[in-house]
This record gives sequence, structure tokens and C-alpha cells, in this order.
Amino acid sequence: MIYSPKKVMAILQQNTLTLIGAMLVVFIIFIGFAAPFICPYDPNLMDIPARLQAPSLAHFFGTDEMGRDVFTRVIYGARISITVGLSIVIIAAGIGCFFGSISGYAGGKVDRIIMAATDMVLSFPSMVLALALTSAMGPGLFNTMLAVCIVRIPLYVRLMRGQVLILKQMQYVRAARTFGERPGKIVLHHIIPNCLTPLLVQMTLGIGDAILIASSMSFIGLGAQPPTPEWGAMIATARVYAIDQWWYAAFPGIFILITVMGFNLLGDGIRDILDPRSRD
Amino acid sequence: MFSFRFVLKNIMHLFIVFLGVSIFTFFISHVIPGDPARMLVGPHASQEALETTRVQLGLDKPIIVQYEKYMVDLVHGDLGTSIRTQRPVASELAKCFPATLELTMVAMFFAVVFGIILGVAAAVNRNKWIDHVSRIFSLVGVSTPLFWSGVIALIVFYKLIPIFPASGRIDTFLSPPPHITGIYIIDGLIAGNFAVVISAIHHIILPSVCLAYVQLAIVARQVRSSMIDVLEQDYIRTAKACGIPRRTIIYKYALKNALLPTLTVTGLTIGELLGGAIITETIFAWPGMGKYVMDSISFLDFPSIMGFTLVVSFSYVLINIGVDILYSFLNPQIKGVEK
Repeated sequence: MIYSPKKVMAILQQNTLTLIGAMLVVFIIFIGFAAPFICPYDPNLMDIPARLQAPSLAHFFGTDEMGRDVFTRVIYGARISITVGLSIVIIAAGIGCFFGSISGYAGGKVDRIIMAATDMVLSFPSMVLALALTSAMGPGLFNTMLAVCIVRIPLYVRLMRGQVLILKQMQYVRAARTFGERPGKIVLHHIIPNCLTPLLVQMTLGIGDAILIASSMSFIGLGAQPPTPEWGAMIATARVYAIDQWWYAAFPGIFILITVMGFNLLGDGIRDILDPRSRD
Repeated sequence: MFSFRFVLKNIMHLFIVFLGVSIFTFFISHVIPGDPARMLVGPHASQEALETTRVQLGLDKPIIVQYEKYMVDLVHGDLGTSIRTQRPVASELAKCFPATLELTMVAMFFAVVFGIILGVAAAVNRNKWIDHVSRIFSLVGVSTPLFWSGVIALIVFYKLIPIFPASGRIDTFLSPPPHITGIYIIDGLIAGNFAVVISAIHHIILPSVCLAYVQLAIVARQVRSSMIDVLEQDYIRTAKACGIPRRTIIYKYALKNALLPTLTVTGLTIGELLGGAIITETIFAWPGMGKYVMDSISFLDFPSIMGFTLVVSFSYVLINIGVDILYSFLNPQIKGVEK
């Protein structure tokens, strides 16, 4: 279902929360891109004499244990988190859709094998599986992204499979089959375009989720390694100083919160806009 | 009638899932890492030491033989030896399991009880202020990183308003109650030592509330939406028309049916709580499995990490199958129906 931009704006205006979500997401992406122009310092510039200073005009969010500017590091952190969140979701959704549509369309043995693998991944708590996979592959941001990706794939497999099972029975898909179109073409041309609404909603909500898990992994020490200005890794270091230097841990967390909240609000909003049935 | 066949089928399912989970952990621990022997001996060990360890671990044998050994050990409760402490992983985990159980159960209690209260209040007062407050509360809940809320809770309730302790399970001047279940609150009650019970409760509140917050938000959302669904059904309208008091309708007729889908969510919640325990236990120095695995991670102590993964996943699967059985017990509609 495609609406004109004007209509989308009208719906957005009615729905304040979606608008706030969209604004938060745009804000975070903007500061991520514009980081070098906004930030007064270099994110890794150490200044030991100025360590652990409280927020001031020179350092909006104070300084950390190496005298680095927390504001600068938090802004640069937006780049990492957005990249991490987007890449995890895009890759997971891509792979998930591929297997999900095969599973749904082919049915039979193929379906059973794919669903068994999916169930296997889902029988682990997501954090625990991500932790096991990352520690097996070795700590690091890239491996964390890979691990979170694997953990997230089943979500999209299931979503896609469900959609394909419904759409497969539709008249127009049957018609296409009668005309002898190849399965691959039917899936690509007739089924996937009609699954985009739930997929888009799931992906938007998934970005926030991916950012949360990835930053948790960094907090645990398996993800981004210091001195990378990743929010989770920053809080992991800040934890030691948190009792006396509240600003060091507080600001990176606030940015995780608003980023994830932005994507959650936006995801809910997109669902409301694209699927009028779910509107209150 | 409680369907015996249904339970039997679930137990069969349980075995298959256990087998799958063990294959998966075997795969993660034996196939993915470049060289487990190298991880064990460290990067500077000699070639001979590496070869000896490899033979010791059975890594020179075919993968099927390795899997067989792995499964035999597993069935005998042998999860390997920790690299960090040089002690069996199984007994190490058994030692800290009760602490994690206590923490997750109390968190579960908070999440479910307050989640239901909040969800019902929001559904009954739909689109009024209480609904909006609950929605924002839930939204912040699902968007807050657990590791951050823990740190902030410490800053607020330990530093600024010092009403809760920062770490441990009981005050250091108290000695732990005699080990019966390993859960201090219960053991303290059994021993009749109320000082321990009070201290244990005092210590558990902050970490468990932090751990519970995200799940509380999820339960509240679920209860709200299923409650709204139920409240719009015909039998509720009939009940209203019959002049049955609102309170009775909500609590006696609507809530019971609205809670069924919540049960499934609750089962899934436990997995998140067990995963979240790694973070919460680390922040609050809670001596459970989560803190144990966190300490192991900094040493890249692979056997411990995999042992933890296995124990947590098995408990998770077990709990969810329990929830499934309970669900069929409570909901006559799905009894005898193919799952």
C-alpha cells in the first residue's frame, strides 16, 4: 500500500509518537554523519590532566578517565551503533527472507529442515547464543555483528514463511503458476513485493533490538574493544567510575535509549500507517 | 481430562530439542574456533605442548568420534574443566546456580505481578492518562539497555539516596544460612533466621527490579492488548447487560482469558531474564552463573562459557515445555488438537 507523501505527512501529524520517533532517528543519523563537524575534539585525543572532569562549557558531557571528551565520543558512537544496527538487520532480513520464502514455497522436506534449524536457534535465549557464538569466533565488533545476525535470522525466516504460506494460496499467484512461471520468478515478482509491509515493520523494530544486543555484547567485553567509542563499551569502562562520576556512564546510555526508542516508535508508527487495520 | 498423550508428546519433543541444542553447542565449541587446543595452551606454548593437548582433548580424532565423546561426557554431567579455575565446570556452575535462580525468580515475580497490574489498568482505562503513562513506561522499558539501568540504579539508590546495598546477596557480617536449596530467602526461612531473610530481601530488590523492568514492560504490553481483545467480546457485553458489577467482570470473566497468551510470553521472558542475569549479576556483584560466565569471558575460558550456554539453554527449553503443558492444562480449547 503506497500513500502520497502528503497523506503520509497527514498521518504523521495525527500520530505524534511516530513523528517523535522519526525525528529521533533522523537526529541520531544526522549527528552520526556530521560528527566531525559537530565535535570540538578528536574522539581518541587523550588529555590526562583533564581526566574525569564534570560537565562544563568546555566539555558538555565531561571527560573520561583518559581525559577524552565524552560528548565527542558519544557523538562518534552514533556512527558505530547506526552502522551496526542497520547492517545486522539488513543481512539478517536478507538471509531470513531467502530461506523463509524457500521454506514456505517449497514445503515438504525442505520446509521441515529449514524450520528445524530455525527452532534450534530459537531454543537458545538470544543473549546467551550471541555470547556463545562471539566467544567461539573471538571477541570483536565484526564477530559480534555476525553473531547477532545469526541470532536474528529465524525471526525473518518465520515471518517470511508465514507470509508466503498465505500469499501462495492467492488467486493471482495460482494464476501465475498456471501460466507456467518459474517458482523463483513467482516468489521474486509476485510474493516478496506483497510481504514488504510486515517486513519493513519488523526490520525497523529490529534495528533498535540489534543495537541493544550489540551494545550489551560490547558491555560484556566481547564486542567493540576499547578505545573504540562504542556506547556499550564506554559504559563498561564507566561502570568503575559511575558512583562518583555519574556523567561518564549516564550520557552514552541516554543516547542508546533515545536511538532504540526512536526506532521502536518509528516501527510501531510504520505499522499503523501501512496497515490501517491496526490503527486504534 | 489431562491428556497423557500430550505430555508424552512434549517429552519426546524435549528430547529432540535437547539433542539439537547439544549438537549446536558441540558445533560452536568444536567446529567454529580455529583451534581449541591453541586456546587452551595459550599463544606462546610450544608445538609439542599444543600437540599433546590436542591428543588429550581428542581433537586428532574424526568429528563423529569427538561428538560421541562429547555426548557421553554430557550425559555423565561432565562439562569439561575450567581453564581459569582448573576445576570441573559442572560443579562450579552448580555452586552458583541457586543465586541465579533466586535472582531470576524474584525478577520474574516483579515482572509478572506488576506487568499484569499495569496491563489491566491500561486496558481498563484505555486512552486515559493511566494508559498513556503505562505506554511510555513500557516504551522506555523495552528501549533501555539493561547494563545502563543497573548502573543508573546504583548511582541513584546507592549513592544519592542510600537505601539499597550495592553488591552481594546478604550483609557481609551475616553468615549464609545452612545450604538446603541454596536460595537464601528460603534457606533463611527454613532455618528461622529472619535477620538473614530480611538482609537477603534487602539485597535482592535493586538487581531484580532492574532485571525485571524490560520484561515487565513486555508483559504489560501483552496483557493490555489481550485484555482489550477480551473486553470487546460478546460474553463480556452480555455480562455487562446482565448488570454484573464491573469489578467482577474484569477480574472474574475477562482477566482469566486475557492471561492465557501472557503465559506464553512469560515462558519466553525467562530466557531473556537468564541472558540479562549476565549483565545484572556483573553490575551488582551477584555471585551467580552470570557473573561466573562474565569472569570466564575475560579469560576466554571456553569450557565454562559453553557449559553456561548449555545449562541455561536446557533450563530455558525445560521451562518452556513446562509452560506449554500448563497452557494446555489451562486452556481446554487446544486439548487434543494437533500442535
